[in-house]
Amino acid sequence: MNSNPMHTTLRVRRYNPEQDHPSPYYQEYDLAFDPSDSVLDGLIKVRETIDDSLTLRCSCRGAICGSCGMRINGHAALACKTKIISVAPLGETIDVEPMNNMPVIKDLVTDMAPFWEKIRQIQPWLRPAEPAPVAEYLAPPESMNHLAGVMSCIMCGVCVSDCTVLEVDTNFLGPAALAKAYRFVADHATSPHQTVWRPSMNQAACGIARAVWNVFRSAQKASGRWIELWHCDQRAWRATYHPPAVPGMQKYSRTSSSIKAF
Amino acid sequence: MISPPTYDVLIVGAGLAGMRAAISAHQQGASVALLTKVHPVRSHSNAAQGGINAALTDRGDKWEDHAFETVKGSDYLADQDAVEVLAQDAGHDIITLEHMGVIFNRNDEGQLGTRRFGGQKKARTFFVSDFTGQAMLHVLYEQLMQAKIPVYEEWFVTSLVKDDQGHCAGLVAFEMRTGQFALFRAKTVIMSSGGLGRVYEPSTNALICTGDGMAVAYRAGAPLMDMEMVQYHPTTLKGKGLLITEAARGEGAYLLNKQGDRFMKHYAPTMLELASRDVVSRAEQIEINEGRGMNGCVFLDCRHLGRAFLQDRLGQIYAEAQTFANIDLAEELLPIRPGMHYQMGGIKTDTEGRCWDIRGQWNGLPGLFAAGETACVSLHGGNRLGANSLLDTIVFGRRAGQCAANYARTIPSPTISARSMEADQHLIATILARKGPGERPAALRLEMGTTMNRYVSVFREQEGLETARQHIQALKARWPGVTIHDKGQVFNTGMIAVLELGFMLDCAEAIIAGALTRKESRGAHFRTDYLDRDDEDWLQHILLYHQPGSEPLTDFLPVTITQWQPQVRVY
Repeated sequence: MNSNPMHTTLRVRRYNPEQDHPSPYYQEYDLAFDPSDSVLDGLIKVRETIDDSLTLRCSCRGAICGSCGMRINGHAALACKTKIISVAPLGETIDVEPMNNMPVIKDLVTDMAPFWEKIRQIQPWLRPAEPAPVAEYLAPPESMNHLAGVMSCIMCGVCVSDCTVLEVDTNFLGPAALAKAYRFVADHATSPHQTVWRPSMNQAACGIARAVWNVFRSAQKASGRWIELWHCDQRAWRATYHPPAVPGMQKYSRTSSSIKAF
Repeated sequence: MISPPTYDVLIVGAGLAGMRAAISAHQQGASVALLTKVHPVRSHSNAAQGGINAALTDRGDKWEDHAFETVKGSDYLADQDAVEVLAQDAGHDIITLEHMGVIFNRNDEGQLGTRRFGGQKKARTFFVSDFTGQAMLHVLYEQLMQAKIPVYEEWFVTSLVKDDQGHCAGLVAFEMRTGQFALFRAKTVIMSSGGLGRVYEPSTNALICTGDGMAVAYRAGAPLMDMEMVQYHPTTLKGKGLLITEAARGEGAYLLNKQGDRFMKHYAPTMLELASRDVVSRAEQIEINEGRGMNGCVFLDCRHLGRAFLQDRLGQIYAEAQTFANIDLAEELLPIRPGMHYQMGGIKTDTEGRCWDIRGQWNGLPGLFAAGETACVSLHGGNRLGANSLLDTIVFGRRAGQCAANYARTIPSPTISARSMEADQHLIATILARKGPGERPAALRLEMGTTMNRYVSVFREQEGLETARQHIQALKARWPGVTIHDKGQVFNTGMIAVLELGFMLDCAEAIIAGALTRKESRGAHFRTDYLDRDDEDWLQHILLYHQPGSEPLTDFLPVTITQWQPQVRVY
């Protein structure tokens, strides 16, 4: 540990619904930090040693569980993935606020129910058009790698928080739900002809998907994963999706597997 | 006041084991609900990076080989009937997952592709890049949404409730968002609440891994088994102990000491870096202890794998090394060291997930089931093979769900009184009412964690274990004085920390009791005062029963051996 640690100030937006006249306010905490510390480390240090009423969600500390989405200096990010030194290299004050576009329950804890409701709206589960083969579906490795890119979304809500379209239209499905939908739309091997957009698909929402692309890209960069929403944007126009021919796909037969498993 | 309906099967914890159990119980026609302190996709199953094992016959693999390597990996402490079930069910369960929508990596023929993992001679680990657990978790959550299985999200369980016959008949929990208590009546309860990593500091485990399910079941009368078997993972980052997947070594990464020597050749000449985890962790610790490490670490060398390969197959740790250690894996060595990772032990169950014995060889808690890291079947024995934990959750989660649903059909609805909540409500009120400058829960947790990591780690001996026992006893005595300043009902995470600390102290006590009892070295339990494995006296499990206010009661259960007699274990 550094004998002469650096200092910063965390300026946290607080909200306690149990106060007589609850209203948000800002509270500042002076904090000694190590160059390796994340904003989450700082908040945990505050919670454990200064003020145990400071409330936030957190779990994995390694940017995989998606619990600690919040706004840091105005931009949504995972607190565990944001180094203090990267946002306050000279010990500047760091603004920490709950995620945007969702109700606040207490301090940095937001109500994610609307987020999950939109995920549910796209009915994100596999509904194969035909009975599954005995063994696995056969599929080109590259198409699976492509889908894995979307599957790696951790559903932290950070992209939704920074979505400027949601600010003006709360009915918009939002980038996380659209990315989830893309996983099924783009699956050539296991769900051709699956209709994922169906009744819940808001055509207007599809139209403005392009508008949020920049926001989404920046949010995805923040979480370190690259998702090609561009494809999603183009394909989302169709109520029922028919997959285009993929080069090399012909060599993979979907149902006539020669595999005798187990 | 919230009064939930009575369920056939109530599941605590919504990680992979819990959700798999829910889906299978639902398919059996049971009324099912899940209760979890975090949203299902925030569960720690997320953290399983590398993959899931299965021997598929059409790939020229045999389930017997997988089973044998699991038994050998366990240092012959695993119950072989359970391991046989695991290895035989594995193929079917993985194909089922794939049909549910898990996007496994493919080989050039378009089939599921495999990679190598530690302790196994054959590549039989199926994977989704290096976020296999996360991919599975999200797909099971999709299935849960489709089946419309109710989830009590962000509810915290405080105790199990038994009826007059001593049958587990439900539980007491409170909703974190409101602080409101509710009594849940259920014909069966499945405990699938994950591990206890936070008993140690540092640990690879998430902050939510606080042994709640083990402690709650233990307090209600279910025995804990193999608790002394705590796995240290060979590749964790210094500091907070974040995990670097074994898949790195499976894909060809080396371990080097500060002289640049691939030291594993001295410890495991055949399997080298892919020897089982206890063996590699001990080797690293010896290198560090004998001065061939640097700053308490040895090095993981991924440079020869190339940047494109790292980004494609090991993208998560590539990013993790960059973010959390400021290391470019394609160019630099990554300092790593052994770190607490997994609890092989847990709530004793049979191969159907039952926490009571129908053959009368051990006592337990009828009506209670368990699956996943919370449970101890015993599959992993003294040391779990990498990529067997995901398989454990899927196979035994499914089996527990099926058995619980079938069992629920045979018994009447539970009769327990709402007064069952009173003791827990009183406890919460007492904690909230404490005034003054009492100790903070975090201070006690840190003392517990560093004590465990110092005395109950890769190497253990009597004196250190006695010291640890005294420390934990002292911490238990201080727990009733712990004070929080947040007196609210809404999302009081300070209160949660106090309750979790109480659970963890019980788990710590059980781990130490097991470690003091087992006077031999086996698997992850290496005693410097008893250097050898002793099959004559110790080919048996240690069962621990909770005794309020005193040391746990110890009992023993012989290891089940079917076809693999213990041999000298060399890698």
